[in-house]
Amino acid sequence: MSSPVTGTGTLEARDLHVRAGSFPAVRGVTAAFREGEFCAVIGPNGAGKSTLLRALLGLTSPQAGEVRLLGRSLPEWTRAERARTLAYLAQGEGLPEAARVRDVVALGRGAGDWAWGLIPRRPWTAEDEAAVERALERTDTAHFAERRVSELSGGERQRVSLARALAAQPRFLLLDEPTNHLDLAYGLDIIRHARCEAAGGLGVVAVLHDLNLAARADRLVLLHRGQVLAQGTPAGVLTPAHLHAAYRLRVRVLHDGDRPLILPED
Amino acid sequence: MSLERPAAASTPRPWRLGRTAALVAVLLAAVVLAVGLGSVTIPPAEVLGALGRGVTSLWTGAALSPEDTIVWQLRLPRVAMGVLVGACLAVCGAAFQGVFRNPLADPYLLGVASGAGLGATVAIVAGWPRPLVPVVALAAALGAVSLTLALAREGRRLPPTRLILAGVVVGSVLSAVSTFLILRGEDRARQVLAYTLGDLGFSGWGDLATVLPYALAGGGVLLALGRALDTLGLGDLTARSLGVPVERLRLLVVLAASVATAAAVAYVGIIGFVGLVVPHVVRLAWGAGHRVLLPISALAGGTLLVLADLLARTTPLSQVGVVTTLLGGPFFLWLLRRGGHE
Amino acid sequence: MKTLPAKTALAASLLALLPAAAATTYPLTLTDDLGRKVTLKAEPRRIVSMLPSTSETLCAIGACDKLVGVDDYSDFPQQVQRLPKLGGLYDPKVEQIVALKPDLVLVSKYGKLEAPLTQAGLTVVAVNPETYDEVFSKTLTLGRIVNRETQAKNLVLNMRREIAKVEILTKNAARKPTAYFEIDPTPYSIGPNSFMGVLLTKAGARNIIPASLGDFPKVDPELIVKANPELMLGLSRQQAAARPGWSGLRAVKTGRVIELPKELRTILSRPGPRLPQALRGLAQLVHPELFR
Repeated sequence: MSSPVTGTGTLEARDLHVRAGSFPAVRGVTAAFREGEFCAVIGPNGAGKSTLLRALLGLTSPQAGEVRLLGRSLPEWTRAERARTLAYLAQGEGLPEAARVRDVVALGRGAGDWAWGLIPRRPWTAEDEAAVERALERTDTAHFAERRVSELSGGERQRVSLARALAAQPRFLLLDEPTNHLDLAYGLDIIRHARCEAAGGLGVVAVLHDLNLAARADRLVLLHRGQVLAQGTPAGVLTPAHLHAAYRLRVRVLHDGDRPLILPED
Repeated sequence: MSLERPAAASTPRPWRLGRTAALVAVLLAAVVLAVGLGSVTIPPAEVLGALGRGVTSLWTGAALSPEDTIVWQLRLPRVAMGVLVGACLAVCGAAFQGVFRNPLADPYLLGVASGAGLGATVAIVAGWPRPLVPVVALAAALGAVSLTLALAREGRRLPPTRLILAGVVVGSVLSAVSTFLILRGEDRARQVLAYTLGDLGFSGWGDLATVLPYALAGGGVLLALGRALDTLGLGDLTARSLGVPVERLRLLVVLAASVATAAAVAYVGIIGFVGLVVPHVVRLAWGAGHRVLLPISALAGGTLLVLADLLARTTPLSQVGVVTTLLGGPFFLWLLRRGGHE
Repeated sequence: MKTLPAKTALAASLLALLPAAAATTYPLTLTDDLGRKVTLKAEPRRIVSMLPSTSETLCAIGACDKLVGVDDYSDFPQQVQRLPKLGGLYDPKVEQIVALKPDLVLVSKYGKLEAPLTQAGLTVVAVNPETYDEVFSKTLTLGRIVNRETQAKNLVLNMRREIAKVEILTKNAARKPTAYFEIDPTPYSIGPNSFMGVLLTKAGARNIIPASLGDFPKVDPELIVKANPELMLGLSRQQAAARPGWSGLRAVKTGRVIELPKELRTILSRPGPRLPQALRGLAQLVHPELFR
């Protein structure tokens, strides 16, 4: 296990313990996520992936340990600062059906800055408009920006949610199973967008179930029963031994260049 | 579906100015019509004169003729009350639908109506003086919502599902108590029923002045929360990640809407379907953004209630609550069917 | 002196209209107010009455001793007050009624008593006097049912005579005030063809509610302000003055807004043998000057 890198540009969990309800879902996770890196969090159901993500966002308070964002402990951040720095795409995120795509994406802007967290303090500016426009373009959603959400397909909706998250111009983007319910093409599409954003300097952390999609990440964190079983490069993490320990599954690992390909065995 | 961006898109509020102007015009027309028409026929010129004499009587204290009295002290406050209550119910309905992410939510979801109903029933059956009835109803309505909140509370959180369930339970229990009391006090059953169905008949300037502060306070808070309500459409977790204090927002919306609805219901009775249907129609024509949805719903709700009341007092339907429910029910079904095809 | 022959003539003409009084022959078959054909095998001796007006009528025609139970609201005459109370229109105590083993149950046509009682094998007759004229015809019907025809006819004659006494006064009143009669503050009022409406007219008032609105109309307050009645009955002056636009109405300004005494309220709502008292009470409110 590598020791976490401290300093600017990281979002780290330090010996983090988090409960989901009364269940100790995360039990002593230490991991660091860097800006400019696409990191996938993998692991079987119930391993604590989503809980870890929520703790990293400050949506759930840890029982012990801490989350540090850009070198500062997360509780020291104001709600507004946090909302500007971390963006989140929840698992199965809802979208208001009757809303226009552009208006949904605009929701990513400015929130958190408001009086009591509820009432916008400043008017909508050209800068906001530009950020929305950029998010629409980067997610290939600009061409249906005037349509209503109810008219969109599942893959299009997911890209709208991504655009909404990007509109905040955050430094970290945390995605919880963003490829769920998407077909192969749309799933790959989301991963491609995520990689692209990471290449542009954003820190991307994605909880993924599909190991072959996860293999396209820069780095993997494999969780098992609330603890880190392995982390590192895809080739280093996706080994038959690790996967057997985590999933109780025998797999063959092929290699497509340096990218591993997982084949479950009967 | 055009790729070109309409001008309105550059602002985050799609007001649809043409439609909004049309709605305002319809509201004004409805008000003029409602002041001009009634069960007593008064020629338009007389109505104008009556308004003038009504205004001057404020400082001269001159006695008004029966016709002038009808226009100035009966119709005008009644129409104003219709606008106010209709606006109130529609805004609260829209806010509840947003905060509960439930298209079937209406302002009575948390037991306000059953509470007011019980309060009024107690006051009427016990034979308390009539002016006391709305006061008791208002207190009981607020009491009912408090009870719902207390039952739904989970620590410092107010989970929407628990709120809705608690509201249903409180509503049913209070309604059952009301029914029991009505049966005990048989000879006043019709009075209670007439109250329950909603009526603007005796809404005077005094009632209007009583309801206005509640409506303005509650409605004002809701209108200010439009953008925050929008984020709730993305789900609680996402809204929180955007920095919105979801629990605080939900509590604030519930309190503001309940205060406004309670006052409206206490003074004019339980008027159905306005709070449910109006936001749906407005969403179809103006979109889902709450910063537009809420104020436009207010205009549309006011318009609808004034017209419904006009229908009530000029036809044998006689109760505005009957009119809104008779028209609103089928209309809502039609909306649902229409929605199903999309 | 002038009035005496008129009254005699009226009484005589009424007598002529009535069929000859005789003992009822049983089995008696009649159609009740629910449109059912009911056969009474013999003269009923154990009667349950579920309407206050029916209880009063039975007692007034000498059948009070036949009553074995009444509804919660029957309170006149005194004899009925010690009888078992068997519930109201919406919450009748069916089991208790059956347990009393009545051979006749007189019910209202409203409510749902008829079916369960008939099923329990009881003889049920629905009798509802609703209009002014029905008060008399139903009294005669009840007389026939309980074999008190003569008494029923006498009662009707007496009632007519008492009514005529009041009417003679009010008919000749110099001025008949326009009146608004409120039965509840919703506001509901009474049309001229309703039971109470007929009494109001006979009491010498001009009802401001047109017959076209029906018998018990919900009234738009506009109409009342427009009619500006000289007399208001059924509410207090304070109540009336508190309503929007009502403080300037004639009746309010002159103080002719009269709350009905409880006793009068009760008999006005009971189309039974105390109808003449109800009329007299009402007439005294409308025309106090005639009853000094």
